[in-house]
Amino acid sequence: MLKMKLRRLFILLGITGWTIWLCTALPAWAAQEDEIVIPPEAHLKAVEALEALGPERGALKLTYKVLGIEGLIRGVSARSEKIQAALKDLGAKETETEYLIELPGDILFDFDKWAIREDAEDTLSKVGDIIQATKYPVAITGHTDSKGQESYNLELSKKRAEAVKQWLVIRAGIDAARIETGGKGESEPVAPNTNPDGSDNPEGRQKNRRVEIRIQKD
Amino acid sequence: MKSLLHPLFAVAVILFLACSALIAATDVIQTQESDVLEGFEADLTKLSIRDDVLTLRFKFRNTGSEAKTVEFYFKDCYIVDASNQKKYFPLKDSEGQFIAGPKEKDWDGGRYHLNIGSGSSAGFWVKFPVPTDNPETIDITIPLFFPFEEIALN
Repeated sequence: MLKMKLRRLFILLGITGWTIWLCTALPAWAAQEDEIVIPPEAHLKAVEALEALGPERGALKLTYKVLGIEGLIRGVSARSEKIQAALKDLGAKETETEYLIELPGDILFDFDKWAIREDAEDTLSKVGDIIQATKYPVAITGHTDSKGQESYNLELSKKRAEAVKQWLVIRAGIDAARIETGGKGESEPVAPNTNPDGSDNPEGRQKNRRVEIRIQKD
Repeated sequence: MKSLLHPLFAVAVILFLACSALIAATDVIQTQESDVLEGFEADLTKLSIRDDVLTLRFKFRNTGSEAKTVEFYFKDCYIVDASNQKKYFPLKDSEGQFIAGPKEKDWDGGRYHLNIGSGSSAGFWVKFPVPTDNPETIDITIPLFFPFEEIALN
């Protein structure tokens, strides 16, 4: 009986010893691959460095104001690039006082209609982006060719200008108070409606069917 | 007493201790992926404080399929005490070198540069001042990796 107890005790001691070894060896084994050796003098250097820093320990106060301005500049820069691209795409003419965008009537409207065509929305979105980037008045003027009665064309040009304004207000979120609209009918052609021999000039008339958008710069 | 000496009990104790040791050995405080190096992860493996010096240990692991180089300057590491809106950089020795390592070059206060093979890992350590206001947590930024956020100082 005593012999049995001794044997058990012996086994238990052995197992305990092996366990202690395991507990100490395993962490070391696991960490061996990436063992980081910090030089013993590093701590002393760190303490000296800390003393040299003084009571604030080199703390920098975070200033969100600066970060905010940087973000704003980046935002403005990105927006500026977008606006420049939009101006280029729309063939905008720039003077010292304004941007002039001439949109062909055939892109914006169907023949004899003043409802904005669905596929004109991309073009108008760019116009909206440009207007959003400024804070000054906008003038939208409709023009027609000379086909049809003058009074009818005048009315059509006004309705078309108003339709563009409505789209910009509703879809692009532009303040309605910034936009003035008007129509010139056939009175201000940019190309001859007829050829010198009196025949029809479809190309010239196409140029005359247009909406002018003037965006004041300052 | 007799039951304590039962071999099965002893084996159970051994297994428990062995598992605990293994878990302790592989435990990490927080892991962050790299936002630059695909397949790389950084483990914050240890945080210790002595004499108001905060020592951080990291392990960079390449879980991707190809070897890549981890390279950054120690000056770009920092900790943030968000609750008090303060930022701290690694401590610098009298020669202007950041107290961090392993260091490949002395440039700009020290540079870390190690090529880590697929499936391999490498360590990094750095010493910071303990934030003055004794915050409960800090955020840690190491270049190439997403920030370690809300790391408890206690």
